[in-house]
Amino acid sequence: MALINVAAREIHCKIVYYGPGLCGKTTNLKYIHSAVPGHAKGDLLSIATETERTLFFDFLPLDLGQVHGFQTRFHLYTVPGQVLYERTRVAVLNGADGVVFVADSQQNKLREDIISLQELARNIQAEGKKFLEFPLVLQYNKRDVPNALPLEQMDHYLNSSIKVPRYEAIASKGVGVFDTLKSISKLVISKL
Amino acid sequence: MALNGPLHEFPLNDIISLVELGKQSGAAQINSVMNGRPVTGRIYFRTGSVVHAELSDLSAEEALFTMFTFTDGHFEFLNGEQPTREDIKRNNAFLIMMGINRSDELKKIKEIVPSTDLVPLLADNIKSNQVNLTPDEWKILTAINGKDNIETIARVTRLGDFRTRKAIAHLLEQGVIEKKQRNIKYILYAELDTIATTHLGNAAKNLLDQAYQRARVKIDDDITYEQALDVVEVFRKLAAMLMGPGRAKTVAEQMLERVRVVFER
Repeated sequence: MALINVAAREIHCKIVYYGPGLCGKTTNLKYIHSAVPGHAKGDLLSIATETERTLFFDFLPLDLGQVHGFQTRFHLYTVPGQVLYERTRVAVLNGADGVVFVADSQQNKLREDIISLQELARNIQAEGKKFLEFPLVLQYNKRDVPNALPLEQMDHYLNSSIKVPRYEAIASKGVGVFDTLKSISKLVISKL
Repeated sequence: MALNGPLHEFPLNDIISLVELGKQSGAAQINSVMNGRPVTGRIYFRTGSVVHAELSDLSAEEALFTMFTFTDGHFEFLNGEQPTREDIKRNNAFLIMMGINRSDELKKIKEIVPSTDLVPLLADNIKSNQVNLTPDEWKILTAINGKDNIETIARVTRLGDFRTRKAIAHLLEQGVIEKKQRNIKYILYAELDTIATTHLGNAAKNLLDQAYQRARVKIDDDITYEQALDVVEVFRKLAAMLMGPGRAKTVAEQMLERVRVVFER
């Protein structure tokens, strides 16, 4: 649910980066945050947990033109990828206007990718929204690893039934990161 | 959900966001004042989404956007109330943005058209050679007769307060129409006309014109307090034949009250 700040004439949209553990969600956000000029962004915030990997809860406004006379501001969030944290993922996903699903291209991660995408579909439906109509973009991350699955296979396993825009990325180098962000931003705005 | 409060503390966009957050179904009932008269409108929600709105005889979206312009008043959320139809299909964010735009636009328009009491009339000389008119402006132009005020024009054209004011503001800016000076005779006619048509429908226009004729008062001439009383009395007799003496008396009493207000008696 996009929030509207009347005094500032801003519309705030929430975009969530979703995906299995260690797929590169946080890397995406860190790269975006480092590339956006200082005046256009808020602080990158994180909430740490006790377990091996930190749960990132990020906030990053990014201006992207006007809609109906309102300035758009995007809030980007990541969810903790580890299976353990499904309840946190549901909480972060609540009220999201769009989702980037970051898939890990490594052959041995395909199973985790599929399970995580299925969980996403379930959680979006649990919010009373239709998964196939929900603004969603796929990002095949880590395209530079030696054991990366060929594109056709990624498409076959992840995108053959949902057919959403998908981008190849090497988030650690920033490759494909902004293409993905622009794509989801446009999708979200088109729904307003 | 016991949600209620004054609109100046809890504007419509906040109400909609809150109901959306709670995914509630029901109606937000809005009591406010429009053109000096109390009005009640409703915004219906289904699982947090706005699905319908009602305010006098406006279309659903027009009703909703008009309620965004209310600054004073009170709202109350009626849990579980359902609309008879669902005419609004847009999402809440879009509706809020449009509603706020409407409210901002009205503030600007009010600088040009401050009151719906104003009687517009066609300009004698149109300065520019070419003017472009929207369908709304065409509709308004055909309804301008030099007697009816903006409120009456809004009702006759069924365009609603905002669209009528907007069109009139644009026509004034283009020099196609002029503001008639505030003049008691036209204000009174418009006021009586509003009361008559509210109770008797558009046929009452004829009846009022007849009352003026029989009381030997020309609409374009100046009118005294006593003449105004005569007009109302004749109107009462004419209306009694149509609708029975009881209802005619009620309408006439409202008219007398209005005459006293206009003449400050």
